[in-house]
Amino acid sequence: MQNSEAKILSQVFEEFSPIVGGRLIDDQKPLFTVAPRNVQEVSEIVKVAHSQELGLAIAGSHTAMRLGKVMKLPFAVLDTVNLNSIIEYVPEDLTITVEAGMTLARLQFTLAEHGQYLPINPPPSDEISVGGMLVTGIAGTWRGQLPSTRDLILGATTVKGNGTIVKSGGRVVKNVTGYDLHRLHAGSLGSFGVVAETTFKVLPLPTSSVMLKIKPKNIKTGIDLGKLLLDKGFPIRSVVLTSPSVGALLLSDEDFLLLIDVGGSEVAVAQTVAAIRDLSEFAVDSIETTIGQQLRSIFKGDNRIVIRVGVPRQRITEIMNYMMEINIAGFANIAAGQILGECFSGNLNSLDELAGELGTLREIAEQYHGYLMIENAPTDLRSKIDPSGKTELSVVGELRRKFDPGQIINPGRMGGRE
Amino acid sequence: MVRFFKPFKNKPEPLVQELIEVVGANQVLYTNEDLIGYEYDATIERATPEVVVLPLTTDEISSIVKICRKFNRPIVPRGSGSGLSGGAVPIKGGVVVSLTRMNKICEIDIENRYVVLQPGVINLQLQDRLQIDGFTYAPDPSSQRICTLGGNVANNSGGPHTLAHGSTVNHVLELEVVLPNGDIARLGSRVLDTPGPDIRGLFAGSEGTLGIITEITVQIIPLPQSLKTMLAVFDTVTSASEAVSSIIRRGVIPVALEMLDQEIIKIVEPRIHAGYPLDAGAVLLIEIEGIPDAVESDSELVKEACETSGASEIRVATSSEEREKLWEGRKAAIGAIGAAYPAFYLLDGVVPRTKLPQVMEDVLAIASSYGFKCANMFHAGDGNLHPTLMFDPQNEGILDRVLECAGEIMRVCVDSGGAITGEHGVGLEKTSYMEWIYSQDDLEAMENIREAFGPADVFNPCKILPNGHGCAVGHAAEINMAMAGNKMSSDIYI
Repeated sequence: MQNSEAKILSQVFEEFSPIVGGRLIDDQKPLFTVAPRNVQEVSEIVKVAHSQELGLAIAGSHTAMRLGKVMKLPFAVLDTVNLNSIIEYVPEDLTITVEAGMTLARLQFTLAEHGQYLPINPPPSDEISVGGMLVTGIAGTWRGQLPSTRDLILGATTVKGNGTIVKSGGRVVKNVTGYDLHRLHAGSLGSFGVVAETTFKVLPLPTSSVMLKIKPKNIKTGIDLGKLLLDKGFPIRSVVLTSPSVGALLLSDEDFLLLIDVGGSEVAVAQTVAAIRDLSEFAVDSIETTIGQQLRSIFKGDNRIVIRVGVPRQRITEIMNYMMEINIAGFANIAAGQILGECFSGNLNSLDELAGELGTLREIAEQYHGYLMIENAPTDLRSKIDPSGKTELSVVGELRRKFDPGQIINPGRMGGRE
Repeated sequence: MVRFFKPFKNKPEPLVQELIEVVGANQVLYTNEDLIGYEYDATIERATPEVVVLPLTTDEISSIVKICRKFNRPIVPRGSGSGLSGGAVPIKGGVVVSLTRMNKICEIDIENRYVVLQPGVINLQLQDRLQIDGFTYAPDPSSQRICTLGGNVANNSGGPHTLAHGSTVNHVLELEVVLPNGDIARLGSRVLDTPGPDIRGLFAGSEGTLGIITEITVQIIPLPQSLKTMLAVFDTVTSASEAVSSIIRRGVIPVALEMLDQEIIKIVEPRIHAGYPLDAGAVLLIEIEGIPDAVESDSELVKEACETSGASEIRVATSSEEREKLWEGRKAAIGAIGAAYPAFYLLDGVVPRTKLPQVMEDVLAIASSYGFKCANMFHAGDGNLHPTLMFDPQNEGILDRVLECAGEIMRVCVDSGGAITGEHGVGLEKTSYMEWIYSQDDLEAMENIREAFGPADVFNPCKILPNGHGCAVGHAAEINMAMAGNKMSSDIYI
């Protein structure tokens, strides 16, 4: 579509101040970008897009846009940047309702003022929007010991692909009134509509935290020690084993490192640290707590190829070994059984080879009931290998037809417009 | 209210014959006397199924679903029948699929922290089994001695320990289900965060309307190193509610924070001897778990919060027997009410925690205005209320008044920003209240969910959504209809 045509189409959206063009998505230039200011405006925009059969790419902070299948042209962008208000926050109820474009960082800042937090730490940073966090399902190192977005979401206001505003759940911490539509959006890559508002359960912020470093002999001893600590019921938020290349980048230490994030009351943290020192046959060092944030952002960058492999904990050693063999640097969240890794692609020709290697790795993970998901990769690679690799259930297709009949929301992300 | 849908015959019909071919003659029930036990769950609705079938395998269930579709009969999945919303009542007749024979724990994987089990496994049996290995499955509905895991998942059940550990859905990794076309599907996987939309999470809590759960994989967690159970005694519900907020303000999230009011203490204590003071206006049952030093320091904060809120006594269980006794008073409270009164009606509403004191005052005032005694034992930490109205069913027109009163109480919950059910489900009981919470567009989206899985009248028709195909408009209408034509019998309430 030419710029002139885009302008004509954008005029249909005039009242929403469309900006022609905007940031590239999947290396493709959108027709124009609109940034609604409330859920009613989202609804109006989607209604118009639905009537015009125009694809709408939903963007929040643009931090998690290079996952899923490649978006199909033509599309405009619905940017949630202006959906950034707190709708309701009652600290004593342990719930907060915010618009979906709010960044996790701002949400955490607000909560921290009241001694609370949302116990989620997705990579690469807290700049992700909360809506993006829900639909991508990206989890951080706390996952496993602490809940995920899909666990903490209590309700949502969303807009279906025909513009209808739909509410589900509520603002109470426990609720089984009707179908949990908000859970459908978790991990959906936005395929069932636009998430406009979300309500989360929040927790008290630990008053104390420390990061410990242990150098195990190898992957196996590291994983075994990590599992032992996790099974003791300590207030540990994460146990991560880093591969030597990650250790070198993070702490200039080219060894396997076991990083343990302990968070709780001062008494709890002190007792846990003492117990870990007793249980570990290796030296236990206390390091800067900011290492946790540095670890999260270690694979940050649009051009990185980042994958997540999920397997039962028992298989982490085998998978990490295999990943290192095929030149993937990574770290394992032992509690969640998740390994995040960066692939070094080299030149374009090697992408075919990489896709083949990732396919083999996926097969191994699937043998153990696990999965391989691409969390960040250029379009070329995401065209060569299915980014999520999960065979769609027939019911998912039916749900998409019900919730986005024109398949205009994030066109192609989950398998193309049918 | 008992509904008969067919003139029952004591000889097999073609539907029955085909079901017998799948599961064997002993596992298909179709005579009046055999069907009586499947008319009801733990609430007040009743309806008689046409046939009950007791399968043993997923493949059998798949065949049963196909046969039911062929004969155009609705299917109602059923566990122990302990549900509290009429969810297992076959209100449109049809075939009840009882899952109680599918009661095996298939695989316990301690290292990978999951258990694979069949839907008929009893909740407490799972907890007891895991305790041997130093692990537990956290959700513990008060009916855990009898309720099944399949029912827990279908209702996304809660329980006293939901406050810290979350509801059932937070502990389910994978489900194997039979869909309305008889297909077998797996939702989620044995590892966390399977890519794709969370159909597993959507299915949990769908109350048997989307399919039959045939296998469940749940997460397990290590038992805590240390556990402290405390009883705090207050003069009023209001001061006990203030203590709840005060505890949360101090940054402590106990694993359980339960309240019992004066009325329920008077019923429970003489029968169970849990150790609750008979002159208390309310008691809080508080449980803290974790590592020993943290449990000690948190319990000091809890004590401080209770004392500043006016607690007259704070008692700490000093032995596991004492702890169990304190919990016995809470978990067996419903049985105690059943022993004390000829009939009762247990409600389930949820409100923002900060609204608890006002809502509790309103609940008691509403019950009093109708002349009902109202006992309350509830999950105060979650704002999840269970007002229980006691009454004599022999009184003319009493059921209308009970339901009217219950409706007013539910309305108070909704008006305070809460919802009509925190853990029991909508079932048959609360479909007419759904419009208090959701718009027509919201409800249509929920219909979309149901339609995406298959025709809405295949599995558990007339549940969750109001105005379903051929359904009455909800609980109140159902009851009014029953009252017009039938004399209630007292036995159905207990």
